[in-house]
Amino acid sequence: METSEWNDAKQMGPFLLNAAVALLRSGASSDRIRINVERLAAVSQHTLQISVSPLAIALSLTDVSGHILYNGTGTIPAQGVNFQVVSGISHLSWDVCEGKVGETESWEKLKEILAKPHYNRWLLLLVVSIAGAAFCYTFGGNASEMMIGFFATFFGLFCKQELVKHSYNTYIITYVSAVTAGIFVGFMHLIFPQLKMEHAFSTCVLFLVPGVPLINSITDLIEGYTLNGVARGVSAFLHALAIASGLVTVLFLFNII
Amino acid sequence: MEIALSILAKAFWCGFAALGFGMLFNAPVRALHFIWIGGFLAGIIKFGLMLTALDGGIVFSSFAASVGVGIASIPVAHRSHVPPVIFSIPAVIPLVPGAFAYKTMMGFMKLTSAETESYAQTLGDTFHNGSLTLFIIIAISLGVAIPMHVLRKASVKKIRFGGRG
Repeated sequence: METSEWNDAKQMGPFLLNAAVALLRSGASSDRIRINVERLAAVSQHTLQISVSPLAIALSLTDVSGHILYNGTGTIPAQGVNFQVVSGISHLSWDVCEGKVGETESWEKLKEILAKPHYNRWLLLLVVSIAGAAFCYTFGGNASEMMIGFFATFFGLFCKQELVKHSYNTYIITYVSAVTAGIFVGFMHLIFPQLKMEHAFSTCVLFLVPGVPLINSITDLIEGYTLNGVARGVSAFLHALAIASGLVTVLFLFNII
Repeated sequence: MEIALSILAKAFWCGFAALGFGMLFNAPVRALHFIWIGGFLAGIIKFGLMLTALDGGIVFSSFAASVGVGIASIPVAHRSHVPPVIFSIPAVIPLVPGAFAYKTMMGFMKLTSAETESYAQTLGDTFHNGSLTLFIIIAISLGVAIPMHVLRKASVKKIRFGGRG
């Protein structure tokens, strides 16, 4: 590959910006975004400046004498976790850095990474429901609670998938999904009052746990991206609040409290 | 023997909890078996420390489990050309203190009702559960993040293993 083919900043800039925005949208930590984009930019002779905000990226490319060659910003509507994108762009950045792919091919590979589909919906429902039952077991639930946890997770995630299609507010989606999963356990409690439900009830909403924002929040704080760390922490807290509110609603509806 | 089987069974299911989250996060197919192993490892360390004579306590056990997963994810990432967070984040999700968070929330709700004889007891229990939830979450997050920072490398590709360059 000719390194010089990367030296048109008008081509390089949008490529870097697209990669950075995709990483931000897919749940990469702030420093990971910077490292990946810097690795991609290292193939050219330009100097990269990048600023990562909670919902936006700003980057510029300058030449050796400090003249700005490209300035660009990109925003995302909301964050959603997609590790295929994080992994794919990381891989691509090494390929570009090691000179294995050229400019045109890199654009195509980036488009390919972004177009990769999610897992099949029904397979996801099955596996995540098994995970719900697994959570129930690890917290001390018995076989009947695991079964209830399985179906509660199934209906909760099904509801979440439907709501995501309609692009509702992310916290409302979490709340309604928690209510749906909880209502299933509530009905089971009405039908089989002799069965213990505590573990099933407390673990049926764990598929909604904002694990990635939570861990990224701490990672960002450690790495000095305080603003992003706080923003992600607050987002994770609001999700936790939505889950708790969902469960409280169910307890109220079934007159358990 | 019974304790060992109980630890193995819990770790086995931790693997499936991790796998479910791996797929929910759309992790690449080639990473899924490592995610299951990561969840299993987290379960073995956490319950191994908690349920045996070591009696490590849940906060320390969760921290040790997430550090273990964080360290294990580095050579795996090196081999499979996938960033370590792809394995480590789903693998530590089974350590999330869902039951304690639930008990905390229930406790706070009870505290909103009129003062009863058991008010002080509820207050104490709620703060106990809330503190556990908070510190376990911090322990998990720090545990995953620390191994990379202790090694002080920007990328796992720059960490060398043995004689291979």
